Amino acid sequence: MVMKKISVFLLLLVAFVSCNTQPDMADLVRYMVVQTRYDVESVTGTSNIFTTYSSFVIREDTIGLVSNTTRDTVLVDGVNINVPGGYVKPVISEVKKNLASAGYQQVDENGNPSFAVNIVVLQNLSVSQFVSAPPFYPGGYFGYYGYYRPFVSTYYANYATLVIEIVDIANFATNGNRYKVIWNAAIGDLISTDDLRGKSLTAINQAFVQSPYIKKSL
Amino acid sequence: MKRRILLLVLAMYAAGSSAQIAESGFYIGWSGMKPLYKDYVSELSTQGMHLGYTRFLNERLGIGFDAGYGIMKDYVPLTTYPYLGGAITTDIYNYMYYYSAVVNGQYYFTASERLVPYALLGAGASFTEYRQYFNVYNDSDNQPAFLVRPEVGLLFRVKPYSSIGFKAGIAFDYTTNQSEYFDLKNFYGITFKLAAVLFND
Repeated sequence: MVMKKISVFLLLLVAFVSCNTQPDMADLVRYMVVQTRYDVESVTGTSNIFTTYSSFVIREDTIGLVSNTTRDTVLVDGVNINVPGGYVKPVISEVKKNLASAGYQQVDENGNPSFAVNIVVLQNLSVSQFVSAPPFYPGGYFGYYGYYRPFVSTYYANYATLVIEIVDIANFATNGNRYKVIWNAAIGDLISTDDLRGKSLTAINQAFVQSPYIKKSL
Repeated sequence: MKRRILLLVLAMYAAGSSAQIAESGFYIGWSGMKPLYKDYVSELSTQGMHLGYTRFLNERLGIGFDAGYGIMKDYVPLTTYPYLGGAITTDIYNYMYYYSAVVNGQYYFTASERLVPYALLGAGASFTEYRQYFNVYNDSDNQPAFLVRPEVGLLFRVKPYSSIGFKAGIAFDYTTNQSEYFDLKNFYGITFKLAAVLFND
């Protein structure tokens, strides 16, 4: 009888110790991770390139897409992404709103912009949110290239990261006729979240909050 | 010095050579841990188990081994971490997967038929997996280390000469599992143990 009780105790013990060995996914995805990086040569203790900028250009209706599960290269609301209330336009609008608050004016490509804003979703690539270094774009400034390398791993099988980049146009010649990425934000995960649009917009705002150096000179 | 220690052990062995508790005992049970070094995890953990074996040399002395496993965890609320070149905002779940294995020497204070207080000193190895979870991402560092463990407790036998008993103990773990990666120093904490014991006479 006692042995039977001990056996039951042991089974319960093993079951107890074996559960909750990782956090619950619902708890993990309560907040999106927001990482921002800036070019340390462009933002120093004594100089800040963002104070020299005045205007920006941004694609209005599409977000770039780099994925190993689809051949699509852009996301368009209602075409290949269906989120109630839209996703692409609200995201672009939120970025524009933050840049306007920082004092920058939106212009078109012929309006001599100081910098370009790229927004791209990276899905299921061997990349992480942790961007190794701001890269250069060899071609046009609206480029979505795999400049990212793994830094930490993900244990989630299907994941996606929203990347926002600020690309320097004003100093194209000084940078050796290359478009230098001055700042980027990586936000994720987009797939596991329970509120894609709301939490993405919150995360976009957080990206600018934690980058107070993005401000036009008064 | 070695000779003195050997003589002391032999004298204690001879003094207590009658009415020893049993020939041996095997135990398995629950363990909880309260970190005292709190830079990584600080909450009381109830998620652990341990098992071990004791060979009783005489009424006073025993030797044995003990192996254990426990998970300690902590939650760090949403925080922005600035650093040169950027910043990251996230909440973090710190998990510490802690494995231990020690050999030990035990001393039994009295030898009543059913209740026996003991003290032991163990030394061995630990293996710690520090793992941080944030959203779907995680980062980790593994540290094998040296472990020293003093412990006090009680052995309780259900009936005289019964093969079934229980064991309750409280131990102090100090292990050299510092992690440069997470900027952590050596870990130490208090372990609480309850176990079922099978005595072999």
